[in-house]
Amino acid sequence: MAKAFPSTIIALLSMIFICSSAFADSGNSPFIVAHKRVSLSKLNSDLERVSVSIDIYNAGSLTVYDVTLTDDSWAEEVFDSVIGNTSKTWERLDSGSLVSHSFELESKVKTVYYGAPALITYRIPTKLKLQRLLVKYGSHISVALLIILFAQSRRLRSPPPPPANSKMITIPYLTALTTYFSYGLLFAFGQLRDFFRKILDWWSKSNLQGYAPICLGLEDFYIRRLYLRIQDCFNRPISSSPDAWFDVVERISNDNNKTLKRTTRVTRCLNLGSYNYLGFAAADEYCTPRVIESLKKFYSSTCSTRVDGGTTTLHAELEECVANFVGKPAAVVFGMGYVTNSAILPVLMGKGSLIISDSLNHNSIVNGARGSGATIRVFQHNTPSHLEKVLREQIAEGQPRTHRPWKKIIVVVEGIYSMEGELCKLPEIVSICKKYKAYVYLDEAHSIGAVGKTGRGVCELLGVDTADVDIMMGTFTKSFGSCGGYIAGSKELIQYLKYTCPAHLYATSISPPAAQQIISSIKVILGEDGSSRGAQKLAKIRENSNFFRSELQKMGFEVLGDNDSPVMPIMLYNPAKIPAFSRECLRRNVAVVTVAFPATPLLLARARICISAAHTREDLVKALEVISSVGDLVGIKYFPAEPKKQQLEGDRVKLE
Amino acid sequence: MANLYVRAVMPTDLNRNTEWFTYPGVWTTYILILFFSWLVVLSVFGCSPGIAWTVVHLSHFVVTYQFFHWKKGTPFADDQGIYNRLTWWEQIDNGKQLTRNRKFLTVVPVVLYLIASHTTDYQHPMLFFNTLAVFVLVVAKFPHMHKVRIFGINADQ
Repeated sequence: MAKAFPSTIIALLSMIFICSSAFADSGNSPFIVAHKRVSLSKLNSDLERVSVSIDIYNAGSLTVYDVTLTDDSWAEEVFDSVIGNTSKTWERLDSGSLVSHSFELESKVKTVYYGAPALITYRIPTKLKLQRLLVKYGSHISVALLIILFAQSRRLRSPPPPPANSKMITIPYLTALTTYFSYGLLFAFGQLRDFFRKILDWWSKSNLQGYAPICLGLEDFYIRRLYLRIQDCFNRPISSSPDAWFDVVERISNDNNKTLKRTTRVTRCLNLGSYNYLGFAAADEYCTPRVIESLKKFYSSTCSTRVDGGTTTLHAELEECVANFVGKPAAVVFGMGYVTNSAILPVLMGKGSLIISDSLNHNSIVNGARGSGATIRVFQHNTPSHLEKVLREQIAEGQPRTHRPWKKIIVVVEGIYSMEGELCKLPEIVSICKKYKAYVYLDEAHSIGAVGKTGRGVCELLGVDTADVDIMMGTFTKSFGSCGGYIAGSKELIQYLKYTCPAHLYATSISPPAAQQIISSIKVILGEDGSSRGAQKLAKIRENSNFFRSELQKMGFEVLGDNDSPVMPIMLYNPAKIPAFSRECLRRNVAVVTVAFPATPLLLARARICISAAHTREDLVKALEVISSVGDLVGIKYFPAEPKKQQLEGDRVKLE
Repeated sequence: MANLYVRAVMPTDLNRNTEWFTYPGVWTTYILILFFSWLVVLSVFGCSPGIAWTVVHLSHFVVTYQFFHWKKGTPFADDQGIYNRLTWWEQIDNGKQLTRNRKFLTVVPVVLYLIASHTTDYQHPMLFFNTLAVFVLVVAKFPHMHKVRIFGINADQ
């Protein structure tokens, strides 16, 4: 912001000068009219008596001051002044008023005399002098300022695209301004429509007298006025398994997107939105037969909670399998990933404890933290130095009012942040937590199974010992093609959780076929099924992600995320580009997921692409072509594109 | 304008309703919107610049009072109503007083008042309305007025 600030000032000043010179009140100007009457009368002595009378009238719209009339055209040798003075001064002359002055002279000699006009001077106030100067020179000054601005901006013209590990997002300044303006306009229109709706509703009676309203105040404003307009870009139903290609059901709307109806038509689209990192979402030659077997043996549901009758041999095997895979002594498994976070955090932390969470943590963590009753502090996203600052401040201050020391401090971070595609700076954060004796809670929802040499997540990738991370959490939805979540930690911790966690005591246990799917997919990843498909899948997803990300960056898109991360958000910024990008891609049979406010910050709307090991090279090339053409149409190539090195032989262009 | 880039640092504000105000470009957009609305008023009404600035000042007063100091809560239901008793002004910067954003937002109506009164040559009745508007706005933004509801106006049941 510091760099753009002086340029902003210059731009503003130049616009002020342009407009002031165009609009300044140049209607006010003085206009003085003078009328001089000279009359001659002959005297007895054959000499002439000249009587001069001068009227000064201010015909303009401005008052003038210090009006001085000087009539020096009558030479001293020829004329004698008889009555009056040849010069006079008036202090002010209002607009539309008249002053007059007369004097008489007598000629001394008899000559032919030619007079000259009198001189009238006046003064206008300083404020108006400045204004007229501004009008006169304002355009010159503004042109000069614009040249300076242009010269300065040439220096900053095209920065190189930021390195993939930068933690700040680079926004073109004009895009930021237009995005604020677009949201302001949408907000204003929404308020206008609400206003008219209130008037219309006041006229029509309602039969709900005495009932309290469901939504207080403005609560549903965003949904009604912004989200419903582009509702066809979200919640699209699909009618096949979420493999690399899938069937998207078409929907139509008769009332401008307020309600959508499903039709029976489907379109076969390329799937760039599912969290199908290792390709287990569709039928797999090792997993699917075993899942069907377990379905035949245990059927689809345990119909009970874990403590009552819902623990089968599959569940015990699954927990052991997960603990081994992740590298911890023990693990506990729950039926739903979101519930894992929101039910565990209240059990671990209570009143008098401190939860320090990353500012971009997932909603499940925020919910769990709020439900726990502990004090929550937030540190700047992925900034270990700010984490240290917050830790030091909080440890020194203690609990909010009593200033007693905290009972427990836990730091919650995620392995891969799903909206940024960024990896967590785990080594630094773990070392800081060790220094200040805080616990570390790592949410590996997106990274387990997808990164690391053998797929064991960010700890393996970044070289952090799993014994240093106190609680490791993850979900099975993303890389394992199933559902559910797990918590892995020390034996004592897991034992305690099994006694106290409500998700274990009261919620139904994970469905047996889903558990079998997880066990089988872990076996495939580790190579225990006797083939090398696991290693191949891991290599494929790494290769696919790196290829796709580098190609997109070369085309000039702003892509977030680190190398090796299969999640890549493409920045859209403007609210109008969200439905444009989504609909145009669907028209070309590519299905993408777009994310807007309030899941992301207001300015930073994006389209999030998830690469899978099931995507072939042709799929990726087709996706790149479609995204490139839609990007040109919608205008989201914010960075300059690198020139492609084309090979002249053959008709296919080899992308380098 | 050529391509100027700015870096956006993620703020630590959890309140989605107010954290958009900490990103770069907001102040400039605010000033530009005021300036362009002055141009629009001038072109539509064809009045003198002083009257146009007075119109802009008074409509700015109405709009900002309504959205900053009257409407309470947030326009979405995700935060489960923890801000339902706070106006937008009380929510920004997590309730911390005298931050840069708050100082900027206090200065803008005062500057608008000075421009409006200067260009109308301090004549009545425009001066009276302008002064009233700026007085109400500036008092509403005092740190002492945080969460204060005078005479129960705009308080909850």
